[in-house]
Amino acid sequence: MIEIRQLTKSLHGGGHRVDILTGIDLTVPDGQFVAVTGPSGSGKTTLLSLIAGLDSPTGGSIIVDGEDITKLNEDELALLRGRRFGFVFQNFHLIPTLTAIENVILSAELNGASSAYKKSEDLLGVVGLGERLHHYPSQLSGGEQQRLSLARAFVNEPDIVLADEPTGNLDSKNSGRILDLIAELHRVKQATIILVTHEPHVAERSQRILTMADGNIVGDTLNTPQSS
Amino acid sequence: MNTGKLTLRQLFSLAFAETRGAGKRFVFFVLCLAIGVGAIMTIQSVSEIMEQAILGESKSLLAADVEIKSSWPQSEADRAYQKSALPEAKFQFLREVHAMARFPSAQIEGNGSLLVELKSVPTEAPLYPFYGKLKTKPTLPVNELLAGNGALVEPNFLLKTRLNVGDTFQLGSVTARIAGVIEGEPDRISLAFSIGPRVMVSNDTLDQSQLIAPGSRIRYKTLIRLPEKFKPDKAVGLLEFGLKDKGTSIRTYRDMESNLTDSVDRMGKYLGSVGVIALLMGGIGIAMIIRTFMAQKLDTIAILNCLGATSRTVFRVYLLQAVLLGLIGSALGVGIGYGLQYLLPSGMAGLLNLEFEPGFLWVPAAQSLSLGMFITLLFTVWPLIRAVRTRPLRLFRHIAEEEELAKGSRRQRWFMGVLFAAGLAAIIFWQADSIQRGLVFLISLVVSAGLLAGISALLLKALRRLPPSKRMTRRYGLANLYRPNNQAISIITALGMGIMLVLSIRLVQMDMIAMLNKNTDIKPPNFFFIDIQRGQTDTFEKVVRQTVPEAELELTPLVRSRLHSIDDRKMEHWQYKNKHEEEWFITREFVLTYMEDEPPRDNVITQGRWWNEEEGQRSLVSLEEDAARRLGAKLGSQLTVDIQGIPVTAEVTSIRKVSWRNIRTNFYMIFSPGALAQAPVTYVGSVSLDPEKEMALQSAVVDALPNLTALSTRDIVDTVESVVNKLLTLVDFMSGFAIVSGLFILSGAIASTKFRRLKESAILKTLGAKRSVVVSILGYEYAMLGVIAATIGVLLSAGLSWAVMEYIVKSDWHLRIVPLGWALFTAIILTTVTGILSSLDVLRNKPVHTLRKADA
Repeated sequence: MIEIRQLTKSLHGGGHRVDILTGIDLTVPDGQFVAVTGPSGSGKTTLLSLIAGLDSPTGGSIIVDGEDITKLNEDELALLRGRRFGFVFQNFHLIPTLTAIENVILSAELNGASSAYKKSEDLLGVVGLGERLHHYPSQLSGGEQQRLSLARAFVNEPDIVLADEPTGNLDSKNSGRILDLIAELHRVKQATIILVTHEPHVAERSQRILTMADGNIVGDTLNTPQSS
Repeated sequence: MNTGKLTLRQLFSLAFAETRGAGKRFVFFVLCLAIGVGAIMTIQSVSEIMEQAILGESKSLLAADVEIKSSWPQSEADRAYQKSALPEAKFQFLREVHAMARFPSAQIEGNGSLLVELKSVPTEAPLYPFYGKLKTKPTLPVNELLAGNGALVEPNFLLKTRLNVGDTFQLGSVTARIAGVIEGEPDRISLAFSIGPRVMVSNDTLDQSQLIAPGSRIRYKTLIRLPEKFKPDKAVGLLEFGLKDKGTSIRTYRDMESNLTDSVDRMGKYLGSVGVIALLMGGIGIAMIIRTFMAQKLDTIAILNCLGATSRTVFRVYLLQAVLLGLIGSALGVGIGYGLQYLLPSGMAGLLNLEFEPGFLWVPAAQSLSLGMFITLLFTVWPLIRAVRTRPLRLFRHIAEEEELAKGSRRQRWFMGVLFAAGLAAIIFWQADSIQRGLVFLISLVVSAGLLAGISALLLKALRRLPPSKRMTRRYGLANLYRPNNQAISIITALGMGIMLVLSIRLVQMDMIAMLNKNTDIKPPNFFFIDIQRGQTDTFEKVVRQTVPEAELELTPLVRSRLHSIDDRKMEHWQYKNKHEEEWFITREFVLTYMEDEPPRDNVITQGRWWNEEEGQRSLVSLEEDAARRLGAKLGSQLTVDIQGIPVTAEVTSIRKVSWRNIRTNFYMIFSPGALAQAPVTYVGSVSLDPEKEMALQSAVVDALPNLTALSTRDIVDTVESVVNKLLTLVDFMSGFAIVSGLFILSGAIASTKFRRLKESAILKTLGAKRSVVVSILGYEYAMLGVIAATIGVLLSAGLSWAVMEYIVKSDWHLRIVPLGWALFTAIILTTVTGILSSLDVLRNKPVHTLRKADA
């Protein structure tokens, strides 16, 4: 379970303070598929980065299964991410010099997996890249790169998957395919999924929709997921 | 912007805007260039300053307009001739000789003794010197100071003898009184080569001292001051024509000036080549920085293209930026060079007795600045052209991860390659000032770079074939070296070149020092006592035997002579092939000896054979091989030498190879006893003994025979070493530039791949990698880069230093495992540590910041 209490994040620049998050309280039970929506600059991606421990908050706490991750150091956060989190980014963030399967294996090996090849190969098969194992990211289309990043996110069977605009760079066909995959992986692996999007039809695929504006949650509704 | 063209103001403003966020990288750019330009500026300024000092003081360097120098006094007839040929000229007669000063010493029983460079000058007008100033303390006319057996001494003399002004000491049979201290002597060009301190006395005092006996090693000098408008060359022509003594050396202040400026020029050329190396390494550094900078600007360029800017406009923006940076770097380099010229001459103090006045010189400054700008253009134009060829398509194809610049068409590559090579050659030829030297330099550079690139490509290929390591960090670290778009080969080439150049300079230095020290391989005698007269040999032997009974003593007879003829070819009508190179040998004075039983220890007979006792009664001679070659002598040739006007002829019966580098008495010509037994001889006594007894022996011999001069081997070696060390200071100074440039290239090379690494490391951290894992991956990659670059660089440096020693210095080369090992170790550690240190912010930064930056 993820419990967020009075989470704030401010930035300082040009002699001004900009409040990105203004005191968020949120609880996400295990296995829930949550979509976070809102206009640009409402603080969606910042909230996701803080939950992942990729950035430090200005105030408040983020408790993941009883552990306040804001108190952890860099290495402890890295271990936590490797063991429990999976990530999908809008810009994919694949390592350009590694082939598709190497990108997936790396993630597995960083977390101590021993027979990573078979598992990675299977997972790439699941996301439809079974024929493109040895292609470099630059040789894949945008949709394929995002599917590759999905495979990478799920290779360690994470408890929590954090996806930041995973369809933001994709056409509708690829976008639908990615969402199907996320939904399928959520169903099979029972992972908690927090997905940031500004597209209503993407949010509709989740069980719960959080709406953000001006650095806080202004709407929190349960939803019956729609299939594509 | 619609027309794709920008005004100059717009170009400037865009060029400035595009520097935002690239501060550190541009500081590197500026420093890389500044170091190289600084090296060139320093060398050119110092050479110029030295040459100006020489030109400014050229008359005082000789203390006269013309000097006649010989090993014997001028005849009355010659003196009369020169006076009539140059009626308005003024003459001074000086003598210089090595002698022993004896003084009361508390440390040694009896008297202490010190080898001094004695010079006698006239005390009647015209007073020494004609030009320049003899600086003394007290400041009194030289005739007053030297009157009544007064002596002027260098401060070093007082230091060594612990005497003071006013004290007395013995010079032969004269008691000299220290009348003052010499603070500056115009024609004493180099203090570095002197074996003992200068002592100056009057000609009368030297005559009274009885130090000069027949056969003494003395130098007679006639200084001539010409009337104002009389050309020195005309005077030399008259003297050469009319003087009967053809064995003298006549030179003008202009000869002196050109000899010195030639030496400075040669030194400038050698050090200049190190400067060019520093500049080229700086060029490689800036090329890497520009290439990385442009790789990150590909999106911006694509956007500008989309907005209608033509490739030419974009090229102008970035070229303007590079030119401005080049200008700053070059100007900074000129400033560095200007500052360093204040330091450099102090490192060479004593090498030349000249007063240098550092100052800002426009010609070297303009040349260095132009060179810096030229290097900037040479090394940045191609990466810029490649970058601006980026097509806007990249923005739509999700290939923002791609950081590789466009390759350019085959024609463009060839064209730029030829242009680059021509530019490089132009710089090298200009600096080397010789097509041949420049070509050797250029070919060495190209071959080394080719070898480095080729060998590193092979090694990387081999590395790829090795079974993958089970350790994940090692596997990923090493695999990074052959991933697509990696810069491994160019980094290894740049690093390897740096290591090779810096190490080669060091290895050659070490071999040259070893060459000097090799003298001690054959244990040389501790002392040479020279000017022992025929009647003094018994006393000398007796004193040595009494003082140090176990000493090894060898007395060698010496006869002074000049060449007369070889096989009826007379020296005065010698047919020179290259007069400049041959004349000194034909007209020089030769010191001969005669030997009975066998040739000297380290002489090897290469032709003919040594004489036996019976043959030795005939008139025979053994020639050193170089002398035989120069004289065109063969076995059976008849060699005639002139000994004090008497011709002595001998048949050449053997030719020897002599090891000139040992410190022993070596001879071009060794005669049989039958040829020279009756000639006027002096002896040189070589004595080997326990070093602790050196002072006692010197003191005893000089007390008993005051006219003898004791030359200590240690003093000679010390003198040579001190000169070499001063020259090495210069070389070290310049190598420093090369080393610093090398380090900058390393940092630049690493910085050039840092952007990619920053992002990769952030992704790794996001995926759960601890900092230690990231460090390990980076460490393996940089360590392997270091291992490959250092191994090839070290091996090539060994090869290059071998080539230099074998073909240029022509001396022994040594395989130096320990320094090579240290260099290898240091280079690997330095590469790894620099690589990791330059990635510290990757480890410190929150991954989200790096990823956002990458997205932006």
